[in-house]
Amino acid sequence: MMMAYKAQAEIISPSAGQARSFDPYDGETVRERLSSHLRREVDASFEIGPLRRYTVGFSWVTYGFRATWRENGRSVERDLILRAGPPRGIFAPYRASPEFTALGALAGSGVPVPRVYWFSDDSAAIGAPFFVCDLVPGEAPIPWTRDGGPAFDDARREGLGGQFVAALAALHRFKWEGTPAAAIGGSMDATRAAIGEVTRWAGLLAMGSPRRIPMLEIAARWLRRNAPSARRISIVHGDYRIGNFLEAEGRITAILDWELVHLGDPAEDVGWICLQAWRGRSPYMCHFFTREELRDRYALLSGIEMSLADMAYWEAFGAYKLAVMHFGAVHCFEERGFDDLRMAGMGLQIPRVLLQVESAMERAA
Amino acid sequence: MNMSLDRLLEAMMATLRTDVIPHVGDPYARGQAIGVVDLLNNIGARIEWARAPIAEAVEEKRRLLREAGVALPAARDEPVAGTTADLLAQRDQLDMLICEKLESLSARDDAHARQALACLCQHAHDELTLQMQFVRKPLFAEIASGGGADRSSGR
Repeated sequence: MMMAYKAQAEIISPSAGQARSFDPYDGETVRERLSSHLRREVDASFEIGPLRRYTVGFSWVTYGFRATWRENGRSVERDLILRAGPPRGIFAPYRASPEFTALGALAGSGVPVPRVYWFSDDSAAIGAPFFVCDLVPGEAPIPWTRDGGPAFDDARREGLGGQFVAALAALHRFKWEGTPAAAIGGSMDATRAAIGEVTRWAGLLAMGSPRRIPMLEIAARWLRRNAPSARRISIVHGDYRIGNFLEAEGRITAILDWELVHLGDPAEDVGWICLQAWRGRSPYMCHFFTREELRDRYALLSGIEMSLADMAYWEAFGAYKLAVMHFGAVHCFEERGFDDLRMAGMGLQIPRVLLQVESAMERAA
Repeated sequence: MNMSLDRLLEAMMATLRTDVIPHVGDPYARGQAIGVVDLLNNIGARIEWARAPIAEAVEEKRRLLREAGVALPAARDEPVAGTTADLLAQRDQLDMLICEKLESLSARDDAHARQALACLCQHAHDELTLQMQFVRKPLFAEIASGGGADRSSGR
């Protein structure tokens, strides 16, 4: 399986040439460019139906389409997904290879992931880095409910919550050493994983905002001073939460949105689950568990013991990272002409997010 | 957070023109949406961010820095004045001075430094709490679902 995806990945090597601009709203042009690219690189008879854009995702753009092509002399017809990292997106320029590589490596593991087909880190093909994967049936429950209340009744909370934590445990148990996932980036040094992430996100903030934000500087200093060592290095999803998985008939069919995947401390994903932003007024992390339940279930399934203090540290880091994302959204909206009004909307929520950084830090102190 | 009002209006008009109006089937609704574009286009030259809260923030930051023993540049010690854009620039410069002070105090471990540090942290908290009076609950549930149910369709 791994060899198969690797061989496919190599088909589409970055090509030279001047990249033309990418307009995520011009689905027809994206379709034409993807068609001609795949006809050139995969199969001359490649056919792509109309693209439909999904409303989900704040940075990468997601389209669904039906495609037909010939493979090993046989005709193949499949519903596929195109994920493209827009050049003017929150933390552009993007690369598709880490997500593509991680998904390929995890195929057949206990982590439900879509099968991946082709990718390019080069913008020459369709105007943006992209990858193509299978469309997986299901719907994505989202963390924000209209009344701020629970997203699930007790039965669904139990059923989906169990699968949610089991998939995370499988991800963190996955033996990435010696697989292509070893090249996805991040930290392989357990003593530096936390510091490395703080530095990375502080760098992204500086890149996107010339302003210095006192609350974020207070937080970055605290996070550096209190950085724990990792118990192990795992593949970290980077955005593991409600909203980033698909569910069909009570089953989680796929974990999505791996654009922040990296090697690091698995506690980072657990802390991220605990963010206030993913639960509204619900007492349950990601609408699933109390912190104690999450810790215990995760330890049972992953074999990784984690203290509430570790979780609180990584929750504070997650709040910091989420705040940096908000500043990144403002930057791409104001400075790079990205017209998505959700970016401006994120900017207006910055005081709320910064106060969440403060309270997460206080809880962890 | 004070984004450029011009940029906000420009993006709202572009979104309506490019992404919304072409997909509105009812002529009356389409005309109303164009009416919104017309309004946005006309109010731009007449509005700016409320000046008073920004002026108060600048004044508060100056007071804080003086108490922390930071010598302000001469121009930063005069009465708060200027356009809203001037005030926003002053606010950013004062935040930079606050961050520099935070940095120097953090390197020390005496009681005075700890107390001064606590004052700066309290200021950061108080300022955000004040700003929250302008922040409304986001409509993320409706935005993420395209105005539909509390879930997004499969992919």
